[in-house]
Formats: sequence, C-alpha cells, structure tokens
Amino acid sequence: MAELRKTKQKIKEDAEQIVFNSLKTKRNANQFILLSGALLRRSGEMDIAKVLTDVFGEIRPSWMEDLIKNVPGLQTGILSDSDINILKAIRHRINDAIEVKVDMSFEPSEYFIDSVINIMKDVLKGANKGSYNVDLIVDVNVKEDFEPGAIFYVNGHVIDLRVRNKVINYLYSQDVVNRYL
Amino acid sequence: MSLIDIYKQYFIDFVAKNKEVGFVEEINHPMVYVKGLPGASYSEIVYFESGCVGMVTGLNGRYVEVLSFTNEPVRSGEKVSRSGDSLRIPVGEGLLGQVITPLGTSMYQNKVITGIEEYRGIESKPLSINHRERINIPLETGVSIVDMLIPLGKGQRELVIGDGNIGKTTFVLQTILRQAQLGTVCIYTGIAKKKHSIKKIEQLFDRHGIRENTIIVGSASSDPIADIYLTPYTAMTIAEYFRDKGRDVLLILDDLSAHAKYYREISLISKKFPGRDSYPGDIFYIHARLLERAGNFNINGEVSSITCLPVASSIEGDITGYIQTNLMSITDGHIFFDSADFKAGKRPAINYFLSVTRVGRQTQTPIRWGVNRELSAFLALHNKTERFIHFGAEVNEGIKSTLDMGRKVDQLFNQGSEDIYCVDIQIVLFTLLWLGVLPEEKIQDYKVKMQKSYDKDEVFRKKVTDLINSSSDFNVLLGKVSAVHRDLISFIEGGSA
Repeated sequence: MAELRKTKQKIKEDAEQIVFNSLKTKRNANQFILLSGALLRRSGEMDIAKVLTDVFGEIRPSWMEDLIKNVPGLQTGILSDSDINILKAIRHRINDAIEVKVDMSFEPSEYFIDSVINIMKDVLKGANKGSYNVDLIVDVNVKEDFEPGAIFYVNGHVIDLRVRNKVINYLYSQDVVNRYL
Repeated sequence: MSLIDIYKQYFIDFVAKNKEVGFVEEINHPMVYVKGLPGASYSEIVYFESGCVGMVTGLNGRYVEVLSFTNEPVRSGEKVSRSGDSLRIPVGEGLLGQVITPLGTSMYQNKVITGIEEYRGIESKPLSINHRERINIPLETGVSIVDMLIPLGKGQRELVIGDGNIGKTTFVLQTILRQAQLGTVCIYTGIAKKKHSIKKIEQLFDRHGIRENTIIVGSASSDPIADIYLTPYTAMTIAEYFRDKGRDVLLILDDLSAHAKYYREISLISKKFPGRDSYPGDIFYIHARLLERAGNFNINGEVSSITCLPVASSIEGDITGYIQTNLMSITDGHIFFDSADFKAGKRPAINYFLSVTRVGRQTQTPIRWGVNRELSAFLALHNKTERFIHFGAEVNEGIKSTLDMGRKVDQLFNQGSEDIYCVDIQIVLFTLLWLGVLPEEKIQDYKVKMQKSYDKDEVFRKKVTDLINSSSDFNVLLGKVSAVHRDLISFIEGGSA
C-alpha cells in the first residue's frame, strides 16, 4: 500500500515537473494560471475543448500538449482529485518561482530561453550551494529600440550584457587606445 | 532640466553603480512594495524609472516597502534603483531667510538656493551625554506672562498646547520675533499648513525685518504625506547645522499632533498594527527621537543650544489625549492655552496654573526669581479670592485691593499679537505696578511707550539696565524704583529721564 502511494506521488511530481518545465516564460505561466483557474472553478464532467476555446480562442499554446498528456482528466473531461492537486501544485510553483527578466530588442528563440534557464539555474544553485531547488520563469520584455545585447534582472541583480558595454569594457580593460593607436 | 529628469538620470546612474534593481509589485499610495533590491537598507533613498523618488521604510522576506515622495502615481512593474544613501538635505548659511520644502528645495518654483555648504542626513543620532550642558541661560519670549511666570531656558523643550485658534501660533511667532532680534537663528516648521498661512508668516517676518535670522520649513496639506512626515526632521537637521556652527537656535514645530495624524495614515496604509486611537506602536518613538536632538550642548568647548517649542492641538481643552500626554512626557514642561481664558478676553490665553516649566526657573536671575515668587503667590491668592467672591461674599478692603491688583496684572499680561516686550521693561513695569504707582487704565499705554523708548533712547535704556543690574534682588529693586518712579513716569509720559 505504501509502495503504491509512493509511486502515485512520484507520478504526480513527475507530471508537475514536466508541465512546469514546458511553461518557461511568464506569458505561458500567465496563460496557465488563467486556464487552471477556469478548470478549478468548474466541477463534474466538462467540455474541455469549449473551456480551452473560451480561454485561448482557436490558437492553442504549445505547452498545452504536455499538460494534456500529464493531466488525464483533460482527456476524459472529468478532473480527478489527483489532477486538481497537480494543477494546484503547478500554480503554487509559479507563484514561488524566481523571475528572470530580460530586456532585449527581438523576440528570443525557444533555444535562447532554454539556455537562459539552464545557465541561471546553475548560477543560482551555485550561489545556494546546490541545496536549493530552483524554479525559474523568464519574462522577456521586447523593446524595438533597445540596443544590441540584453540586460538580465535576477533576484534584484542586474547583468548588463549589451554589446556596447562589452566593447567599452574590452577597450578599457585591454588598454586598446594606448597599445594599438 | 526638470527635477523628474534629474531623478530619471539618478535611476540610470544607480543601476549602473549598484548593479541592483527592483520591480514595483504592489502600490497602496504612498506605500509601494518592490520586489528585488537585495542590498536595500532601512531609510535608504530609491529612485523609480519614471522619475519618482522614495524612501525604504520596511524590509521583509518578500518585499521592500517604500514610501513614495511624489503625488504622481507609480506604475506597477516599474523598475527601481537604490542609492545606497539615506535622505540628505542641503544645509548652509544660504538657508537663512528662505522658505524651504522638507526636501531642502525652495518652496518658490525655479528658485535656486545658494550658499549651501554641505548635505546632511535627516536621521542623525542625538548627541551623547558628554556633549550636553546644564540649561542655564534664559530664553526671552517677549511675552510677559511667560517670561515672568513660566520662564524658559535656552535648550529647553517646552510644549505649547491648547485648542485650535486660541493663540498658540501667535505665541510662538512672538517668541521668534524676540529671539530673531537677539540674533538667534529661528526656524519655523509648518507641518501640513495652508500655503497662505506660510505666506502670512513669511510676510510677518518681512514686516519686522527679521528675515535674515529666520528659516521657514513648510509642508502644505496638499503635499505628499511623506513630505509632511519628514518636515520636522528636516527642520531639526537644519537646527543641528547651525548649532554645530556655535549658534543658538529656536525651533518651532507647528504642530506635532498633525504630524502624528499623518504618520498614523502612513502606518495604517502600510498595514502596521494599530494601537490606541489607531496610532501605531512607534508613535512615541518618532517624536522622542526627534525632540531628543534638541537641548543645550557643548561642542568643542563652545556652548550652543537648540530650544524646541513643539505645538500640540487639543480638543475642547482635553490635555489627556494620547499624543498630548506623550509629548508632555518627552518635553521639559508645557504652556497651556485655555479656551475659557480666551473667551474671557485674555491675550495670550495662557493658563498659568496648568502650565509647567521644569528647567526654566534654574536660569533666572535673583530679581526675576523674586518677581516670579511674588507674582505666583499673588495669582494663587487672586484665584482663591475670585472663587470666594463668586458665592456672593462681602467684599472688604483687602479683597477689593486684591481684585484691583488682579485686574492690573491682567492688563500687564495682555498684549497684542505682534507686541513683544523685553525682560527689563517687563521687570520695571511690574515693579511700578507692585508699588501701586501705575494707574490701571494707563498700563497698556505705558507698556508700549516704555518699550519704544527702550528701543530708541540710549539714555533710557541705560537707566533701566543700571537700575536692574545694580539691584541684588527684587526687594532692593523695589526700593530703587520707588526712589526714581516719578522720573520714570514723567519720561514715559513724554518728559525727560
């Protein structure tokens, strides 16, 4: 019995992790909060397709696939207690997640966001001596007139990676003017 | 460049310098809750991306609580940078004669204050006990009833308390008029006043030619709450600057009960737990830490003082209110303005029996001590007699003379809102009155004439000061004045001394 409970718990945690990992950005997290709110407010059998259309319109977000796979109730139309717990746990993790804000001039690729999350996780785990399970959500703020490069804001710290600053720093640190001109 | 543009530039500079940023999460104007800023510290100044400015008033695990200094709304999600420094205001000789805001800028738009020598943090520690001196120099207020009966000393903190519109501000302004004439730096602090009231005070100072020794620190009731809260602290910081320069300072805080109300508003908005009358638990502390900065000091062998006269309003003469009793326990006494006396026509409407001065008497000369003793004893008798005849008792000669003298003393104490009398004149007038040579109907006239002669006539002034200085106590003075009273009166009436 205990073994079964453990297995169920593990499945729940895995499902939670997969769905949370698929969210990645603040925009997706907000969409999830909206959808889970709509689902949790209802009870009994429901028309999932209608709920999704009410929330998202015709175009479904990409992370929906992972959600539907890992929350069986979304396929049957009846949310079980375990499904509700998964949705609530993900909402909780979103609230507690560390927000990484990024200012840049263009919409970043999926690969860029994955890289940001992986690098930041390593940095934050290092800072907390590896004992801290870090959840990250990336909030990209696209400004068309922003100069090349990006500025990252994590836990109140600013990491300025604009190209201009990098070049200026390089010129200063290598004493380029005196050495080459 | 406007102030907002300057603050916007500060925001950019401090992000580059400290490499820290926060984001506005929640706004309960004027409280702003910011996420981020891991290095923020209490009372640190922060700059918003939009050009607003604020001060850190609380830190918890999730948010930095910021008190915004501007009326412009802060936007959610806006970036915030920290300065690494607490609030500083510009101080210097250039402040004399100016009307300034709590942030140290001129209240007049586009007016630049020159003569600034340094920037000082508004939250400084009070000087320790080894820099303190016993209060031993009297402070003249120019108001007879106070100088004779409730004397004050330089460095004393005396609460001025009473109902609204019965002469508290008039009294503190009279004290400023007298002290500014004597060269003291006088700072009038108007907390949440009407702008036209501040203008009126400025005009009063101009009219009396004392602008060069006065500073007005004012906040209007329409100003941001944070500005109103900071007003007395800014004034005290300026007072400390002049004290450190070796000058005596008179600081008026008008009024601290309004200040307490605005602090209560801030505390309730920031969800601090309300206590008695909904005031927060630290309401005593915010006033105690302010008034503890006043006193008589010895800085590098030079004695200088900050005399503080905080004003507090009461409701229907009730002096047992929370803030009123707090302030009474912080200060070295209080002057109580009684609405019953005001209605009876007394100006100033000070109730001597309910007023207290704890350290003022120790500054008195033997003559002033004698005057005080005689007057106190007489007023007690007069008060008893008045209560006695209230029941329709037969009025004998003794009672009649007590009542007559009481009326004369009332006449002596009655003075107009801009009249001030120096202590020498007050003593001589009282001595003449005590000798019974002053007719009741001429007291007001004699007071004005004597003060004018004292101000303008060198010979008369010398005569009066010699008379007082050559007497060892009040009884000796009585004898001397008795010998020359005809000369004095003929001079007052237009003759020569």
